[in-house]
Amino acid sequence: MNMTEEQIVRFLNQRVEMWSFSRLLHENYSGKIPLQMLLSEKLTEYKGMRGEDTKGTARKIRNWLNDVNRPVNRETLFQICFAMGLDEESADKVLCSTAESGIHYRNPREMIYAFCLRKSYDYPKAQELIRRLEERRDPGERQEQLSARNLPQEERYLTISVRDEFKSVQSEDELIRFLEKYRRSLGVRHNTAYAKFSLMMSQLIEGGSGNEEIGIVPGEKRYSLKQVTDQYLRMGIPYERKSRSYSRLQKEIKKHWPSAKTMEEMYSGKADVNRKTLLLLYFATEGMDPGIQEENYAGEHCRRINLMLSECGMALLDPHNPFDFLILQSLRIKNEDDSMSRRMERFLWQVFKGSMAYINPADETGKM
Amino acid sequence: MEDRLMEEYRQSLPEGFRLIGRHRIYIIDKYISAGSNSIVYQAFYQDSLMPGHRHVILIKELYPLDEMGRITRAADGSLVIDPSAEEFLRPHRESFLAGNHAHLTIAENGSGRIADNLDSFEANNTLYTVLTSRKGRVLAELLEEDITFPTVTHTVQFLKNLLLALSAFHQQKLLHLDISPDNIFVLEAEDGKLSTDIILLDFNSVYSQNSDWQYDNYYVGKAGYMAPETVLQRRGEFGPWSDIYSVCAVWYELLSGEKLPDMELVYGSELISPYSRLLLHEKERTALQVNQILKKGLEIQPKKRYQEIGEIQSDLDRLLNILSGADREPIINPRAEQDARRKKTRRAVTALACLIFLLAGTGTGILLEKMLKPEGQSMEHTELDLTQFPLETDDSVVLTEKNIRHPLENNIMTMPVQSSMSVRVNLKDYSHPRDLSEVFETYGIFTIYNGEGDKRGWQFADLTYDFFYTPDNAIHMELPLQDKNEFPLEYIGVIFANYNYTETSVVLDIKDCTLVDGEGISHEITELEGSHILYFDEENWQWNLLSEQNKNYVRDFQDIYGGKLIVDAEAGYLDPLLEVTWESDNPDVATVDEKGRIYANRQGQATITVTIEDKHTGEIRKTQMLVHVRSKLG
Repeated sequence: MNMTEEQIVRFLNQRVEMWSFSRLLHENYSGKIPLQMLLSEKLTEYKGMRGEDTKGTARKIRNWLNDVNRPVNRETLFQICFAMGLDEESADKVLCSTAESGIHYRNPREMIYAFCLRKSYDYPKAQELIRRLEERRDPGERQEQLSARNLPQEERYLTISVRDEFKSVQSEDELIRFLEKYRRSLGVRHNTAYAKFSLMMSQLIEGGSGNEEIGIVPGEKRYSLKQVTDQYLRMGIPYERKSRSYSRLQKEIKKHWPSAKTMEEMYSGKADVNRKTLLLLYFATEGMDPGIQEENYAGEHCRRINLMLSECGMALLDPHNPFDFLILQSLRIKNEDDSMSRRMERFLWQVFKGSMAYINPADETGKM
Repeated sequence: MEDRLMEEYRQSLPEGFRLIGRHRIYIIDKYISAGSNSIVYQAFYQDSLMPGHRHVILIKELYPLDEMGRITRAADGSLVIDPSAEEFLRPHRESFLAGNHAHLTIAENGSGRIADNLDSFEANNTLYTVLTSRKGRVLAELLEEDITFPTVTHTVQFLKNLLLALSAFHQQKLLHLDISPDNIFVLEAEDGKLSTDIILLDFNSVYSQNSDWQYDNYYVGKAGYMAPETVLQRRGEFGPWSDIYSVCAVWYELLSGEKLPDMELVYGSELISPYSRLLLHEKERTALQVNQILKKGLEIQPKKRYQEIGEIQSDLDRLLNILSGADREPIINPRAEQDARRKKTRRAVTALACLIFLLAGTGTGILLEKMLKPEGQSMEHTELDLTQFPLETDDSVVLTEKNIRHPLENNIMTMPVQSSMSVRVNLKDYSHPRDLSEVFETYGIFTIYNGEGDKRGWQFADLTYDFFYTPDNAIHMELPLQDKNEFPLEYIGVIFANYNYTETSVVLDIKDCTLVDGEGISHEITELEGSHILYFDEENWQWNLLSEQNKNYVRDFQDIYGGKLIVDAEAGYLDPLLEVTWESDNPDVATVDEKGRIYANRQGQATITVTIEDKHTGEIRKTQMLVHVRSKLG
């Protein structure tokens, strides 16, 4: 449906009020034991097993189920999935909706979790398999954080190909063999995502607007990472980190929004390229092309974005996710002079009306 | 190399092994290849009537690679499958059966582009398919060895054969879904060279759009060749267009030498550069058509792609006609038209804005002029007739502005104020002794031709010459004209360079410059013939002697196809031969240095005189030119 910016933001605000973490858990839980009791018992067991502090576990669970807050730690989210007895697919959905991305099919640890969920094994069993894998590694060997830049061409397997092959793993021995086979290319970094991130970043850094052909504006000078972030990716989102005054929708949108610092970390390979950054880069570069005709615009870009996300092993666009909903609406441009990034900026302005984006003096020294 | 697979986890059947099929006994000859799902052997069976004769065949054995070593070979040749491997084996068996079913279905309906399926049976606790044997190699192996097709035409023939093979699938409502270089077998040509004939291999990913298909494949293709809908597992969107995407991905690789880039981040009408290896010497329309086919074949959205093989075959046929010259219709480039429309709109808007601005300015100017000008005076616009300025000229001393393709008209040169420009002297009918005391080391020379609108630029067939290798500083050059493109012939020329980048003065005698056209008729390019006085320094290390005189005789590349450009040139230093002086009669307007470089100081006119004295004969030649210095605004 074609909605104005105000209508979209009103719609999202209503939906966010309805949607909650507790509702997500209840919708995916089909056991008879009350959820709070189950989670309390199981998470206490898991954390105790890992030597973690179990005090406050019950309080945290209460807060989650009352939507005071929700877990952000992926390990905790996996523990919740195990506790609830979810299968691999349901766990992937919970992670997609809550964390930055679904199961990471290039992270050996998460692949072990995925296998165990598939086989209905419990969390302790998963920890045992992790230990077994680590024991098979040479004592002096360290897992290299290989970036897409370092891998030979033939080893840059698409995440989706690895995931397809992983589907056929059915036994523990097959799992260990599989992980050893792909040991070199598996890592905690989305190699494919990094490659696409680099491609789009280089266009923004080099300033290839194409306008120099028309001769109306001069070619852009080379940008720094900070300039790229401020100019193209920030889109008016406030810098302020303290979010108490923000609405649920604002918090949801602002979560994982790239800053100059996080961009630097992603660019250098220190941090994983996240889904939101990849989507924002796509928007900033207009999908690396300004030329798709108006009548095909939304459908074509939607398909391209999903292809990009799929190849990176990330969740596809989900209209139930507020940020994804804004993405989808931003693709519905009104005329050929409009663009997805401008439309997104207008939506964000509506969302954060009253919370002006500004440069904190601290930014000048590099601190956020 | 041992003709037997001895992987860590698999052992092939040995040579001489008797494989007992349902109807005959096959003898294993040698191991051919192995994939993740099966092993292929060359084998034979004896003719029933004449047992001394053999029928050579290929046998494909289902033997999935299990790195846990749970599927082994017993002494009698049968496979031993550990119970824990049953679940692992199941999808491989399903794929093998699905592929076999598809193979038989297609073969029953007649197709020359897949190996015939002669029989399939169960033995040794596994499955076998018997195929006809053909000589050739898998495309992937050829690409790894950098063995490629020599021309675009070859790749198109290859592609058409591939599509023909695929059409057998699509006619049965089957999709291959694993088109990649690994599954394309290139047949050996009779002369042992790379042919364009192929057969398709490996149908394990076959997908049926028929409701009675009982197989469920888990594997749908290889990264880099999979259509977007297969990457996204949108089975409802699978169709013949999915295979066509993969075919175009293979074609892209053959043309560019690289795998497809991130297609969701690529858009544009030029996937293959017109300057790439295979397209460089083809017509520009070839590159346009190639890119249009690739663009449509690789569309992200299935509905925008070629919907069936007939559509792409039709465009490929047109491409072949362009390559052969039978099709000369212009190619409409929708993207260029779209960009042009956008540029036109923006230019129109900009122009309108400028016009409004100018009109406003002019209006103000007119108003001011009316206010300032006394009444009664008329201002006639007068144009200066420069030809009325008297000049003493000598036709045997021809002056040409640097990089201009014809001599000065009426010996008049116009320049904006505060600029400088060199003038080159060409002495006609100048005979002189040759100075062969030094070799013209590191001077290079070559001839060129250029097409109007040809983005490739100068064409010279890589024929450059070095005076170092000549015994007498003389060079004979013949540039063959074999260009099949259809550009108008804009100009021809001789490029002479001093790769020392030193300050020298040279006389380049072009004794002969003849353009032989396609019909063998010779046309003398007199503008370039003569003795050119050339000054080199660090900044001006190359002289381009260009002429459009060709336009008097020929029109385009077609007119000269099969002909040649012949140039005979001799080089020698200026100093032993001639004394050249330059002077200006109005230095306030224009000055000239000893190398013929004119500097425009202020608006007005100046007469420049060049005097050339032959040091051997004492003969003096002199000519004059007019320099008209105009304002920078024109």
